[in-house]
Amino acid sequence: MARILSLRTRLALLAVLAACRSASAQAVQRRSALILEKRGSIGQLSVGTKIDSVGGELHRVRGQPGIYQSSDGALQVEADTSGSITKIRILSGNFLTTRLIRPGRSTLKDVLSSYGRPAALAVRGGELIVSYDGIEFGFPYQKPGALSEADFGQLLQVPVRAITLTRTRSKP
Amino acid sequence: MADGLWNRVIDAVVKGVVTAVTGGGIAQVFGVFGVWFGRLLISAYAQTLSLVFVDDRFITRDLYAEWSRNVFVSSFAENLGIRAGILLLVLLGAVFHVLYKRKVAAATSAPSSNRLLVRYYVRFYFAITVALFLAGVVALNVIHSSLLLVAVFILLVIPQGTYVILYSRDLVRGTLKEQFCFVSMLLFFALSLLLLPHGYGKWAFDLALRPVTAIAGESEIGNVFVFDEKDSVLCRVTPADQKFSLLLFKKPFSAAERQVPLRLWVANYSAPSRADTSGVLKDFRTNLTDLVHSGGHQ
Repeated sequence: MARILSLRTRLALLAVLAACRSASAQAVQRRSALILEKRGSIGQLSVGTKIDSVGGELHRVRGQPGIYQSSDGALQVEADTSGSITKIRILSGNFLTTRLIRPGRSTLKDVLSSYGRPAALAVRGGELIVSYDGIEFGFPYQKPGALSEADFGQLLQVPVRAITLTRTRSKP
Repeated sequence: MADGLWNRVIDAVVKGVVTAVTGGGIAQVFGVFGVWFGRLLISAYAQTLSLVFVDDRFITRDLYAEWSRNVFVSSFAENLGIRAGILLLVLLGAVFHVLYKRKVAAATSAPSSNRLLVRYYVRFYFAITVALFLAGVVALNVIHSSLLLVAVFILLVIPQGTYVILYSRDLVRGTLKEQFCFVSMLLFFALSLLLLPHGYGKWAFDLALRPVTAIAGESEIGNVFVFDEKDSVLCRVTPADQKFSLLLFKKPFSAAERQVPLRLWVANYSAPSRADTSGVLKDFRTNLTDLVHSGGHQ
């Protein structure tokens, strides 16, 4: 094979393959761009459904049992021991919620304006987690000693790092 | 001998190129090769209704193709009825006019045997052809009715396509009149392909509109709406200032709710007053301060 194809041809083939892979990844994103937080779903993925039903779009993350990832790294899925999806973490700005919140593009102020008073607040793993029923927004957060007016103003402009879909209270 | 062969090769190449361009243009209309027809349609539609696409990458290629096809398949076919006969007759007349060009040269050389009307028709054949199709193209830009738009488009494109394919030889070997007429027809053909989606998108095209509350459990969402196009497309509109951000994407979805035309909704829409978020921000700051001090979970 190597003798038949020149180096230039092989490089061209590799470039074509990479382009095809990128195009197919984009196609997957386009198919499932909207995060339906009330349903806990994004495209074919839905909280509470079996991970097996998703098909080949996700692969296991090595060394982390129950964690799956999409090939482009835009989605991370957590499943329990029975294979049921418990959390879907969305990291790409190509996805957006029904209230137009997008990772990397929307700020904490956008979230509060769109979703109102959060049900809970927490700091976990260097992230400020702003939670609502069925959905959590994660923001990069270095806990300051005191929250001055300027600190708070800056914090409101911090973009969403990740959106996590969780089980909703209303969902059976 | 060599000149004869060379001429035939040139004729064949010109014919091949013209046929490919014409056929490709018509195929575009039906969304076979590309999506520009659908893009022009939705662009004119969005411009007319002041819709802003947040990200039109969410409109899939097959959706563009579907919109292109629906211009002819659904709206046209459903409303045409008995008028199809009239359209067919006029179309046959236009095609006959195009085919008659083959006899123009012979009729010009022996004019005495013809009637006065035929003599004038033959004499001014090229001027009549250009004037006729120019009038059609102008009409395509003026008409607001979806049915008439598509009817005029068909009446223009089929004869124009026939003309440019049959008489491509005129481009290299025709008289000045023939060359002028050929170039005009090619130009009119291209203009027709652009003007139909523009006019149709501007005056006739519409999406079905559905309140987001139609989908289960979404009752809290105020001014966000969801569209359902033929039970397979989910779209949404968010009012922003005086415009509307529109997102469209393909997703299996079915519901049996009443559908409202977007044009009607936009016409009757009044922008809501902006909600006051200062109270939310104040509460959030208090809760966050408590969280920082407690160092834990709220």
